[in-house]
Amino acid sequence: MSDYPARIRTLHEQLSGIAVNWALGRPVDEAAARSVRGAVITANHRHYYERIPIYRKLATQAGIGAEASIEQIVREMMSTDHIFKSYPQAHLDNNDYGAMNEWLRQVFDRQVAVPVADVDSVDGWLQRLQEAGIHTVFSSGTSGHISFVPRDAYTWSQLTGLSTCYIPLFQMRQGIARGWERVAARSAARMLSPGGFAQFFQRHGLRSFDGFFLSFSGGTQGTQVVGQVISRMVGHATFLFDLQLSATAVRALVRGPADEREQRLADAFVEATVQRREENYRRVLAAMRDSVAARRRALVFGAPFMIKEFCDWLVAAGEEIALRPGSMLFHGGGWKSFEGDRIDEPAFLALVEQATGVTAGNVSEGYSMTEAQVVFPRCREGRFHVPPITETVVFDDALELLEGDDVYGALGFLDPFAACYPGFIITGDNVRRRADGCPCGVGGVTITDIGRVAGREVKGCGGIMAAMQG
Amino acid sequence: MTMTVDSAGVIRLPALVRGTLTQPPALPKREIETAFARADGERAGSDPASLVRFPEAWVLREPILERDSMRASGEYQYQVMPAPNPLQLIEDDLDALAGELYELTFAEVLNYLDGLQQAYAGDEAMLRQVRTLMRQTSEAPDPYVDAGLAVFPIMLGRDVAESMVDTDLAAWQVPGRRFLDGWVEVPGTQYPAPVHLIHAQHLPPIAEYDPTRATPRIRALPTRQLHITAGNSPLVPLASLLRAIWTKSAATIKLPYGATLAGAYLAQLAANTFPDHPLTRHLSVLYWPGGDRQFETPLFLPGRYDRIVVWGAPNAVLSVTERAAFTKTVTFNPRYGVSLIGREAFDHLEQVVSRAVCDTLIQGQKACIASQIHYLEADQAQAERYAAALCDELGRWDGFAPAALSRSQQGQLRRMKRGSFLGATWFENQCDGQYRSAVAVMPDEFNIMEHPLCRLIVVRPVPNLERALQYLHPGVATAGVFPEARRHALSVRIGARGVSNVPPLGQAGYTYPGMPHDGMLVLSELVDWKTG
Repeated sequence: MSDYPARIRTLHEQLSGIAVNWALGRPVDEAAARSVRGAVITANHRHYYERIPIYRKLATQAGIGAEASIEQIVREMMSTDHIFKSYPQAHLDNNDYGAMNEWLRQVFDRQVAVPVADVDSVDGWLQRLQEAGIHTVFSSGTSGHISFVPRDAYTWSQLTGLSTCYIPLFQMRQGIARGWERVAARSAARMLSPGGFAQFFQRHGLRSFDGFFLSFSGGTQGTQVVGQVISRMVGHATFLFDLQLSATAVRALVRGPADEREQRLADAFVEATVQRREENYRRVLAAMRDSVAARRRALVFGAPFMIKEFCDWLVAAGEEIALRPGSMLFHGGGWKSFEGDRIDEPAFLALVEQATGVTAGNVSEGYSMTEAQVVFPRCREGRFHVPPITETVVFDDALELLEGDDVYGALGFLDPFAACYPGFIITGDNVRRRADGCPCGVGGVTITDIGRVAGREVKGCGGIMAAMQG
Repeated sequence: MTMTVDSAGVIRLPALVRGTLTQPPALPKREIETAFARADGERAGSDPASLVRFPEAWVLREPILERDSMRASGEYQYQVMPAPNPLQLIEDDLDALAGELYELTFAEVLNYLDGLQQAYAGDEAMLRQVRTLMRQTSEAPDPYVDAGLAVFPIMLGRDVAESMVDTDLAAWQVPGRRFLDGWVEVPGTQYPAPVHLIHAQHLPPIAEYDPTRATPRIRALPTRQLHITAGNSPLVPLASLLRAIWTKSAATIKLPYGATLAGAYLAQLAANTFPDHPLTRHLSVLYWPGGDRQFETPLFLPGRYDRIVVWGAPNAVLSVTERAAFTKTVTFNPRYGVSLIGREAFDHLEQVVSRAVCDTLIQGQKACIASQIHYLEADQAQAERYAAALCDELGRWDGFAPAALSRSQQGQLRRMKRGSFLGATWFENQCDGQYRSAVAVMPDEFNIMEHPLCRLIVVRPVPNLERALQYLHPGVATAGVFPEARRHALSVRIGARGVSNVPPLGQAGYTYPGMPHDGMLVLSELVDWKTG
């Protein structure tokens, strides 16, 4: 469909506007929102069908054509996240990136014609893709079988920008930020377009904060990307690991190095992240002290297990720090392979406050996944809120749709903003989805009780760090 | 005291606790249903609860399957079982064990087994009832249930016990039973330790003492065994029970969900046939939920058991080995089987397919030796031809032994078709539009953890059988090979990769007394080898 890009952008703008209104607490016409979501999803279906080979194959298998109803799409056209790692491992084992290009084409809506004759590592391949405007986020599970999700420039801009137009407003409704900042942000959101507000917030929203990122400064692994995006908004950024999260090293760590070069890479990675961890902690702590001395607020970001470990270290070393009042902590990615280290929410918040001085009211969290564009922010009641700009479904064990306002099962989503790769995904997470009105006052659907579906491997940086710590 | 079924169909299963049969409380079906409804409500829309705890009982709920379709009927079978204090299971009077159970002769063990075998043969009415109740809920087709029960008396046979013990515990060409019956002098040369050499160098010989004249002796002493069994076959609790009896050991057998009836029946048989026999008095057979910390923690403390034997799923095995770090643990890890089929198969396709399906459908494909993947020396077109023939053969099995398909298996099949197996070519047998069995020709490697074990064969075409060797590792229990010449050529290379069994294709399910299990002579692991 030749007018797809223009039409989809118009619909995306409408959805972004809905997201802003929702986050501001304005009434949302759910029927109208559903109608726009439906229009994007059916347009995306048609686009995927015409342009994405693996989706076309699924459609052929299901007997579905270019035109399909939402119900047909939900029942027949949702795929698992496996499609993003459906390449033969031999391609990576043999450094056959020509074959990887061909595979990536299967899950992407355009040709992948980047030169790879001289590429001899996953990192090199990802770099070439990046240079060609194909932003490829990777995620490694505990099996070391890496997922690759390709995004074009537009979809990448949505990934890194969409959340900025509604998550800050959502968090402010939960009481985060100073009163005048909340007023200013709400005023700006009312006056500007969603994109304009996102740009405004990216330029000014966090500039008075110093950012402390318990993550990697480089690399396109999912959670790390979020940290890198936020790091560009703060006044000064300090990363716990000031290096790239290398896909090659990650694969070598989990599957075993294929050669001496990979062994060296893996060793260097472990040396930088595990053996020098205390040194890194001290560097972050020193930067935090400078920030406090400069009377600047701090924003701390990371996966919960990293935050817990850092806070445990601060407490054990007697190095607790009182970050400036109004400092914030944002975490995402869940506990993953560190489930055994999980502590309950009150204990986590108490630890954070003891170690950093960040109060419970200024701690927030987001839930998303590598294949998704839309982030679900968590409210003070502990529920993740699904913005009315994406469609969620829940399946039972037999992968049949569960209907109702309070259901538990495998989460699926139809992400309207996944414009260039198949965004109708059945995840490996079991969740409880409710539409019963959250006590926090924000409307719409919420998600809680997140756990892995039996037999699904743990994905994300948690899987990587667990493998490294062996 | 026996298992009973009340007028509402609720089954009360006794537990055997150190020789004493304990009857569970009588619970009205209405009370049970209310408890399960409450438990379901608390599960926030997830699968229905399968277990509810009452003050003095565990109640299991298993869906009753319509045997023709093997689909859930919507009705449930309820089993009520006692929930004793775990401390009652502990054998802490070691002198009593040493003076009685451990001094039994192997001949007395054989007599005990003879008695059980005869009692089993004469217990037709009860067996009929057990079979009927097992058939209501078993995910294994009826022929498997019947065949399993038919194997019981064979395994109880004295010839099996003699072969197992004499083989597994044999040393110095001495039959194993002699090591169980007492100290056995072995013709070994004793070598002095450095301390003796130093003594001889610096001190005069000790008067009236010549250590070189002492004769070394060995004995296989029984142990206190905790067997945590898996639910993939009713034969697993029986195998554990027999291993304990054959080694004259004090044992606790944990029955798994899905195989409680047969296990409880055997316990009842032992208690009613030999109520005062030491083997019965030091035997416990009961159910508790696997992983229940409150129940299991006292059992896993150091010194409570000499051996813990654990079968089962990865999480169960890991959980036990982590918590019982100070007790010697014998694990039957989760493993799977494969087949390696050379291109010669196409000259004997009908025979090969029949043999390969037999290897796949061992215990309804749930056994750890059942072949889940057929590595076939073929191109894609040949692989599809082979797969079509396999699918036809599976269809014949579907006719006389239809298999159950759980909702999670149904979901997993859908996940595979819409994810990792999107590139596969599927051949599927259906009945009334419902899945029965399938073969998927898969061009690329996949994660075996995704396999739903529901009458599904994955065919992986390979250019030559040697290429399939890269997929073999210690997680593969069995690799059946066709033809024989290829098996002989590859068997050591297959074994070197950690595979335990390399039988001819079609013989993966065969067994014989003295056969190693998971690379072990298991009885040898269950006794304590003493020198004296």
